[in-house]
Amino acid sequence: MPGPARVLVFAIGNTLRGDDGVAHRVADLLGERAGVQIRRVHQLTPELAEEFSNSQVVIFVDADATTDEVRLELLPPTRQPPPITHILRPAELLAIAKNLYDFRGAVYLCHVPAKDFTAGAPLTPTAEAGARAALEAVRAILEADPPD
Amino acid sequence: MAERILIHPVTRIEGHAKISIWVNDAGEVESAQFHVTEFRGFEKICEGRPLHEMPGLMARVCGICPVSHVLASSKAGDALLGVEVPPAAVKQRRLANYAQVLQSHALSFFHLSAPDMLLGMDSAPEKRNVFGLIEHDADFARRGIRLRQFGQRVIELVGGKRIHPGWSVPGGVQNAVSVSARDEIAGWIPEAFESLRIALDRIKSLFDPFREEIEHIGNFPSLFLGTVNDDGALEYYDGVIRIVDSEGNIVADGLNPLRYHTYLAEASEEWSFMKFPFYKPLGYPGGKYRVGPLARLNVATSAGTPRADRELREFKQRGKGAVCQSFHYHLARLIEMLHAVERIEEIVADPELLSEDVRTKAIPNRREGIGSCEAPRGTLFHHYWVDADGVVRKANLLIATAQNNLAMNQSVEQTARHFVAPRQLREGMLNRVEAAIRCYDPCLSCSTHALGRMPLVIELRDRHSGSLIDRVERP
Repeated sequence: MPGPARVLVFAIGNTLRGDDGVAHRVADLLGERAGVQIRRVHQLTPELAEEFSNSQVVIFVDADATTDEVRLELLPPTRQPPPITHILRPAELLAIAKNLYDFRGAVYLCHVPAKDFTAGAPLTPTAEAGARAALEAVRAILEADPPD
Repeated sequence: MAERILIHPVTRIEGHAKISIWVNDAGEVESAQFHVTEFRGFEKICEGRPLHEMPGLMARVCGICPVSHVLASSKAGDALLGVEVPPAAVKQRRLANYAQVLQSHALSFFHLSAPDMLLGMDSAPEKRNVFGLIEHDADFARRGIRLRQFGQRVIELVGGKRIHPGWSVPGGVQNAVSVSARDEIAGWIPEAFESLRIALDRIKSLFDPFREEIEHIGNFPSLFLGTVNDDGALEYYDGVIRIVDSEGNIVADGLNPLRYHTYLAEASEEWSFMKFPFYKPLGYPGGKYRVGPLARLNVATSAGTPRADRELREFKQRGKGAVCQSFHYHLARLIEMLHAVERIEEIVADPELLSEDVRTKAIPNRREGIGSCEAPRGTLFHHYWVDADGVVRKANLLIATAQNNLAMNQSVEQTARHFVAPRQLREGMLNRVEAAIRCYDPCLSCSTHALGRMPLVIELRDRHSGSLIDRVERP
C-alpha cells in the first residue's frame, strides 16, 4: 500500500480524452516531493476515502469545461447521494472520509480549464497553460502548509 | 384510459433507465416495463481495430467489470491466435477475475442494496444511500468499503491499475506477479473472511422481516444459466455451460460456450435499447433465463471450496429445486464473495503464480474467435471476426445484464402488481419496484452496445393533447 503523506493530491481524469487528462499533466509538473503523495485516478471511488486518513491536506485536481481560469475551491463535504452510484464527486468522497475515517483536514478542489475532450487529442494550449497555473496554485497550498 | 406511473431515473444502479407502470381504468397495475435509455455502441467501435488492441479497448466498456471484458476479449484473441496460454498467465487472469467479483459485489451489496435492507424499504429516501448506511452502522459500511478496496487492490497489483486494466492480451498477460504483490494480497485475506462472516450473518437475520419482499420481488419460474467446471462446481474462467429449470432439473449440460450462438439468440423490443436474449429451444419469450450470482449457485452442484460449500448447501435449502426468488441474488452475491476470497487464497499460495513465463506470441491463425467467462453479473461472450491481417471486421458482445432483461421486466411487473396501489401511492412502493431491478445489479453501460441494430422510434406528439403527429421508425 502507498505510505502515508501529509498532503494527498488526486489527479483525476482520462488521459485518452484530450483535456480531460489535464490533471495528470499537473501531477507530472508537480513531480515527486517529500510528504506529498500523488494519486492518479480515472474517477473517484469510495475506497479512496481511506487514503485520506493519514493526510492533513487533500487536493483534488480536475478538468473543468466551465471555467476559463484556474479556480481553487475550499471544499465542504456533502451528504447528497451521487447521481451515478458507482463513482463519486470530491465532496462525496470527502463526506465518506469524514464520517468513516474521522478525517479533519482541509480539502481543496482545483478546477483546471479544459476545452477539448476528443479521444486521442493532445492538451489544448488553454489546458496546458491551465496546468502551469494549477501547479502554482498547488504550490501555494504546499508553501502555506509545508509537508514535513 | 390507461395511466402511467413513471420512475425516472431508476436510482442506485449503473447506468440510465426508467420504469413505466401501466395502470388500468380500475386503478390496478396492469403491466410494467424496464426501459434502458442509454446507448453506447461498442460493437461498432471494434470494427477496423487490430486484434491486439481489443482487450485494452474492451476494458473501456465498463468501469465496474473491466476485467471481465478484458478476459473475454483476451480469450477470443487466444482462440484467434490458436495458442495455449501459459499456466501462470491463466492463474493471473483467474486471480483478477475473482478480485473483480469481490469488488463489484461489495459495491452492489454494501453501497447500493444494503441501505434498503438495513434502513428499510420505507425509510426516508434521502437516507437510503451510503451516507445513511454510514450513519446507521459505520463499521458495516467500512467493512464493505474495505472489501471493495481489497478487490480493487488485487486488480491493481496484477493488472497495473484498478480501472480499465489492459494487462491481459491475446496469448497471456504482459507482466509477472511480484513476490511483494503476492504477499500484500495474502495479507488482506483474514480481514476479508471476517467481514464476509459478519455480512452473511447479518443478511440471514434480515430474511424474516423481508419475507413479503422475498416472495413477491422477482419470484417466478425461469431457466438459470451459468458456467461450471468438469465436476459441476462453480467456475468463472473456463468451463462448460449448464442450464437448469426452476425445479432444479438440468435442461442442458456440457454446452460449449464457444457455440453460444447455437443455443442463445437475441430479440429486440421497440421500447428499450437493451436486447432480450433467450434460450433458443424454448423460443421468445418462453426461453427466459437468469444469469449471475443466483443462477450460478443454482446450476452449480458444489462450490469447490469449503466455506462457500457450507453456505451453498444452506442456500439450496431456500428453494424447491432452484432458488427462484430474485431477492436472494443478494445472499448469492455474498456467498460468491466468500468463494472468491477462498480462491484468491489458493492462487496466491501457488508458487506458479510468480512464473515469468506469461505470454505465448503468435500471428493470427484463425478468422473467428470466441471468448467467454463469468462476469460479476453473469456469463459474458465476446465474438470476433478478423481478416488475414488480424483486423477486426465484426464483433458481437453478449453481455450478462442483457441476458437478465426478460427476468428484470418480469420482476418489475410482479413487484408493481403486488406492492403498488396506484390510488394510495407511497414512495416506498416505488422503491420496491426499483429494488427489484437492483437485485440483478444491472450494468447498463455494458449492455447497450448494438449500434445500428437497435430499433429506433421517434414520435412527434402535440404538447397539449398528446396526440400523435408523426412517427419515424427504424426496424
